[in-house]
Amino acid sequence: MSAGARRRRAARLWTCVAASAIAAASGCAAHRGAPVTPVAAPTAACPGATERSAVEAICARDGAVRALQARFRSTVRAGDRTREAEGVLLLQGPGAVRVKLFTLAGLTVYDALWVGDARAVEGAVSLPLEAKSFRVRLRPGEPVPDPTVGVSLALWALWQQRCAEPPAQVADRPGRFELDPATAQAARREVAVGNGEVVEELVVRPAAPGAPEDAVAARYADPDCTLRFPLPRRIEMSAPAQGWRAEVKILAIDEDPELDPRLFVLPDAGHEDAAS
Amino acid sequence: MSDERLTIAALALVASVAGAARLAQPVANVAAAESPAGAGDSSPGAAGASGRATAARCGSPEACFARISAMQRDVRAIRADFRQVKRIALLRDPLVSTGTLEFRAPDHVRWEVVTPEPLVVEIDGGSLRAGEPGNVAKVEQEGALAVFRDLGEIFTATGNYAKRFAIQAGAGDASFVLVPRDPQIARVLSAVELTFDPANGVPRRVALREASGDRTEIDLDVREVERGAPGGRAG
Repeated sequence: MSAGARRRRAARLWTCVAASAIAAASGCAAHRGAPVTPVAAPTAACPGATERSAVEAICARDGAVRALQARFRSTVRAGDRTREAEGVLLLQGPGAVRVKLFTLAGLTVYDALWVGDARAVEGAVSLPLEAKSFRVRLRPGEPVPDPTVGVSLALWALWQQRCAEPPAQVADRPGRFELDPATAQAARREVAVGNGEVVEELVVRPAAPGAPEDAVAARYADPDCTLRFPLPRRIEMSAPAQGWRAEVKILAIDEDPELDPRLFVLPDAGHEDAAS
Repeated sequence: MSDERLTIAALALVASVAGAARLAQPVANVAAAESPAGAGDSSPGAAGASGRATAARCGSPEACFARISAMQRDVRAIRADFRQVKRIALLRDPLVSTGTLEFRAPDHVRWEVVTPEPLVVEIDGGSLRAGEPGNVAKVEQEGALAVFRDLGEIFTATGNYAKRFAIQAGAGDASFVLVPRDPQIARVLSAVELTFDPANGVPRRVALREASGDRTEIDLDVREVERGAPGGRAG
């Protein structure tokens, strides 16, 4: 591999990792089933949270958040490297997610849009600095064709309904529940509950034969109790198999904003850029 | 080009433009001596006319820009407050950040975001450090030095900036629009708009127009300019 190719690959990895960090900002995430960090209680539960059942805590989000706009900052560490990025996450129910990542001075480096449901999801992912764009349509069980695409797809998956089927407690693991993975087109989906809040989430996507499991874990803290539906203000994500971790700080959340529908219109297939 | 490079590029760009405050006095002199039209007339029609007038006085926008760049050499340090507004196409509310910017010759930049959340970014020669105040650490900086050097050349007249950007007159005296010639850069960045105070040449605004339709505007309020002999260290 040439030095240029290595640099491009490294840059793409960074973008992927940063975009993964954003996924957590939605109050979602993904990781592999392996050594997930111990379940941690939220730093401060919102009033009334500790009185509700675990299932209520898991399912409360379904239907409670119609649309969302979040501004965030992320610090991502991979090996001995660290980088900072800012971004904005837009969610529009029932199945549209858009995320944009910026350099600290404001230039857009990643723009992803996913729209779909349990039967099929379509996405347009653009990396302007690398002159790369992807147009993808996935059905259940199909592996993600490129890690750059998969990262933002995790966002979409985590935004999907948690309780289409009742959560099932994981045997011998108090506070951990398996979710129906179908709505998120996932192979496996799991959450952990503590103090009446979802404190950890796991989503595992189908992988190509022989490929490592496509999974990311996220831990949530500092729920914002001023919101109608409390969402975490701090998220730590880790992907041990991929060797990176990210810290995401939510700077601002706008609940149910009026978002322009054109933000969620997929560009025509073959068009270079995601809708903007 | 990696996003790290663009991050550095954009920050270096802003710092370099702030460095153009070293033009302050000379530009004011030029304006006083050569501009019979009222400086500060910001009506759209007047802006276009004054932009053309600026070009006419210098012979061309490139000449005006080169002239300004040539006047920067004695500035050793700049300190400014900034307000950054990121406008995302189709999104109603912009993302606003405020903070301070410090530039020290030859290559030190400190960019401190105060709101909405504190963050410090430091560029010192070939190194980039960032983090919350009191917890600043080295971050990825692949290609940073090269980009800083490239963009620094644009604003310090030490490189052939005209080769990299088409320089056009902006919407007023001492305003310029830089259009990238490199297709790789143009794919991301449609243009960079630079605005200086027509009365004293102090930099006022940097606007980055992205090909996607997004736009980032950075307004600068320069508080302090230190001058000294070229090659000397800022104090």
